[in-house]
Amino acid sequence: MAGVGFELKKLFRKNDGYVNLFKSYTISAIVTEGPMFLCILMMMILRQMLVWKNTTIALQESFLIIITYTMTFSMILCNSFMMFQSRYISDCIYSKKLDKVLPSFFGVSVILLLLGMVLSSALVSILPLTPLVKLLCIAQFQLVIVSWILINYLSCIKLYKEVVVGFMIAAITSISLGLVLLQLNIEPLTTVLFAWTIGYALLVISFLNVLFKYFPIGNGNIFEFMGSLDEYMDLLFIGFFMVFGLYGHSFVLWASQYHTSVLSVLRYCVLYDIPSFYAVLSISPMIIMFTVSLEVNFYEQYRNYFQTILQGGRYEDIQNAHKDMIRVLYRELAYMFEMQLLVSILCATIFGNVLELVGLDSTSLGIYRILCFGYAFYGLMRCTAILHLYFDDRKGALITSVFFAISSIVVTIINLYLPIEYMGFGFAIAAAVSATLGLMRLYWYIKNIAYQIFCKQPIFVENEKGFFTRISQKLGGM
Amino acid sequence: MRICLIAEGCYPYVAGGVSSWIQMLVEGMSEHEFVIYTIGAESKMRGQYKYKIPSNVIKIEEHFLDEYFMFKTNKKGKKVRISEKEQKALNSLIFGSDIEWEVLFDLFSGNKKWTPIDFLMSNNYLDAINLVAKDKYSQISFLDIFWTIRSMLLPLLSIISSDIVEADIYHSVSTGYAGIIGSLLKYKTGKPFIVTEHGIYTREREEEILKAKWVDIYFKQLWIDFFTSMSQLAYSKADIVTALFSHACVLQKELGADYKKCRVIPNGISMDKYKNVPSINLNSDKFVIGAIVRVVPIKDIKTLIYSFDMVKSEMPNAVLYIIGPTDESEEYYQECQELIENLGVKDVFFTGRVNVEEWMEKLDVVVLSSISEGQPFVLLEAMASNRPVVSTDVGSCRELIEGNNDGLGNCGYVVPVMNPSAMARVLVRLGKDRGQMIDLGRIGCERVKRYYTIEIFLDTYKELYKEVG
Repeated sequence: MAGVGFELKKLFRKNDGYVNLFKSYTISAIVTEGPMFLCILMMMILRQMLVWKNTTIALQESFLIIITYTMTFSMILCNSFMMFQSRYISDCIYSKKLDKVLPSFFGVSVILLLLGMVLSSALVSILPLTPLVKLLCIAQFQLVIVSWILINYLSCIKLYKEVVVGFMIAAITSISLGLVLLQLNIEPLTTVLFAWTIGYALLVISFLNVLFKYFPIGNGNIFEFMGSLDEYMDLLFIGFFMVFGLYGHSFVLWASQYHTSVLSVLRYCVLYDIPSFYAVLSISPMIIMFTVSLEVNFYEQYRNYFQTILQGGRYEDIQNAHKDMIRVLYRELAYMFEMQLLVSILCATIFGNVLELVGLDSTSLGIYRILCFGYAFYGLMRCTAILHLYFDDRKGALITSVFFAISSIVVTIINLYLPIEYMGFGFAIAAAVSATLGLMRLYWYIKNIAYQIFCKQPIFVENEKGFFTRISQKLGGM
Repeated sequence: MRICLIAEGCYPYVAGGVSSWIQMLVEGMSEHEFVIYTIGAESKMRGQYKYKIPSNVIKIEEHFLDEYFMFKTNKKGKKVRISEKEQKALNSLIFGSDIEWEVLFDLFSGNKKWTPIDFLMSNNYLDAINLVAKDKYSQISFLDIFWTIRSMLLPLLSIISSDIVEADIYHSVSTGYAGIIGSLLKYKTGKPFIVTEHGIYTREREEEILKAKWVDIYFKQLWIDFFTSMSQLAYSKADIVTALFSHACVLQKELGADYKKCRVIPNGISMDKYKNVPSINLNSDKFVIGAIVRVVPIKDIKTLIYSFDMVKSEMPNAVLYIIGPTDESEEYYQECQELIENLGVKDVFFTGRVNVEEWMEKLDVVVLSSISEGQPFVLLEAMASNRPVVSTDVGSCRELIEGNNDGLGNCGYVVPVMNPSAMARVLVRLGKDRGQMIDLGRIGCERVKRYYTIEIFLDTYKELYKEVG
């Protein structure tokens, strides 16, 4: 009899691992803030020891600027890779390919260390420092880079405690080492840098130790992870622009007439950097709330929504789950931001008065108060971008972060035309507008989430084999 | 004239009734040129022709359903912009009622802006699915609805996106996808369209779906409705709907074909081929039963074997030849051999592929045990060779054996499907009365001569083409 009828096979169905997305991106929210806080603390104590030792202001400044530059540029370098890297690790864990995790660590380290080596050597070579200090600068820059990468890996497997313990050991070591060595009357800058470097070396060793315990050595191509860039290239840009926007406004001030030069070529801006450093600490509550309350409350609804779809929910079930998810998301976001505003007000007023008491001048205090709100918006923007990623809206996160980076610089440049007292408004406006943009995108995207989930499902699943997969295979073959 | 024959799942890839019919039709009409528009299941069959393509075939347009699933998915997805009217037509297609086919034809056929895959990945598709999930399938898993309808629509939409084939007459040899193509071409060109059905497509699909394990129970009706609406389109667009025998014609009318369009045009065979077959030997000491069939489940060879076992116990001189290819379903062939072994029945032979005309002289009676048939050529061939026939009551077999009140009388026996003892009973009756065999054989031959020759068949179609063309 005629008739093909239907020899059509049942199409491929795939649990797309949305739940996995959630886990991988939450990490990037906490991974930067916590350690940043800890190493700022470590830096302040070491600096205080230089003060007790009656060293010159210039020497103290040199130490501070070396560490500031190290932290800033290592962050820009590493943060670019961080989201991409957490996504890769989570995917490995999710697909039970644990043996691919450690090779990727080595791969990323090789790339970032090479970049870091070139950049730091180039910069250090023109600084008026002794060869030993130069060497220490380069060494600690490399160590800090590796520590960022390691922190990201450990956070992906939720070993936050190990991260904190590692920092404690490092801080105690470098502080006590600094204390002892300073008694020996060796050149103080060399001494503190040495103590700092040893602290970080211990940190790296202890982190490596933990990492090796959790993941099999694996084998094969350490550049295999680069294959994922074909799909997740945008995560590199999101990471980069996010952190570039965070420092962009400071860079503008460093380039402006308000800058101070240290070690002849390194610039910073006391009036702006100090308040911005205190202000950034004020958003810690928000970051914590984001991880904690969202994980608990929103995650439930988020998972419920996807499970309803995957486990054969009816149209009505899916609509209801969608409504619940949106309701909880906005409730949590609103709650989080209200809390943060309250904290920001407290910081601007009460903590501001404390800072005034300990000697912050009135210009800086004004900037600090503005920036407290600026960073609150920055935090909101950052959380929004991470929410985009939960829904795999990488385009949304990219738009938000690029907009933020550009506006942070452009509006701050415009800000320069106003008196110094108004400095910080530029950043605050950029962050507020970016946060609004991010929220609008989030609103639109989640409203239409069904289109994103269903319509993007390919008729057949194809494996991407693009440019970076080929590159990684070539590198692996070397 | 140029005639475009539209074949689905048969010619020229699969040997069988419909394919032989096409070959016969094309070979018999050297005055016309033919375009074969063929829809196969798997693209690996491309170019694998089982027939010698006649010289008046100017083109074979090959389409394969599995190819549509191999299209590259555009990752970003193209924007699909359609009007409200078009969205309404798409909704009607997904709801499966009052389908606005003509709007769909205009939308997809020759559309170079986006492909059916683009559409199935578009917001418009999801909108339509949302509607159907809300109103029609509110108790079924949304994801299943989404995927099922997607896999249902992909081949359909791909087929109606294909390019126009120019011809003076479009003639599809089934409804289904072939019927869709015929309707599309008729709509696009305004040229006449004929539908010929050998079996009843809708019924065949219905049986297939009801049995299919891979179709979720909730979706069986959806698939059946889908194929039914495809057939209805073909019936309504066709200028003429033909069937091989009157019962099939009745079914077509029941399924919505307008009775004014319906005609019965039976198969025909070449009498010349069989005129030299010697008549039955009145004094043979053997009773030779022949089944000219492909060894496949639908022919129900097992019932035949059971039945022969019973015949054998009464007539030890009986012999059964199963004449036809055994390689189409190796598994079934194996099962048949095991059955023979278990029953311990002797004198059953599988001949494999042979020349039927040469074999006919060795047979005393030709038997057909199928559970489904259209108008089987083997019965016509046996009748033309003056052989009595025994057949199950399927398709047009009763009509062939008992005649349509043509006054000739029966040329064999009709037995119920899957009933070995009934079949054995008539075989024994025949086997013990060789005189009756000869009488029945003569009636059969006369019937073929009057109604079922290739000349009649070709003349009727030539007339039909002239009439519509």
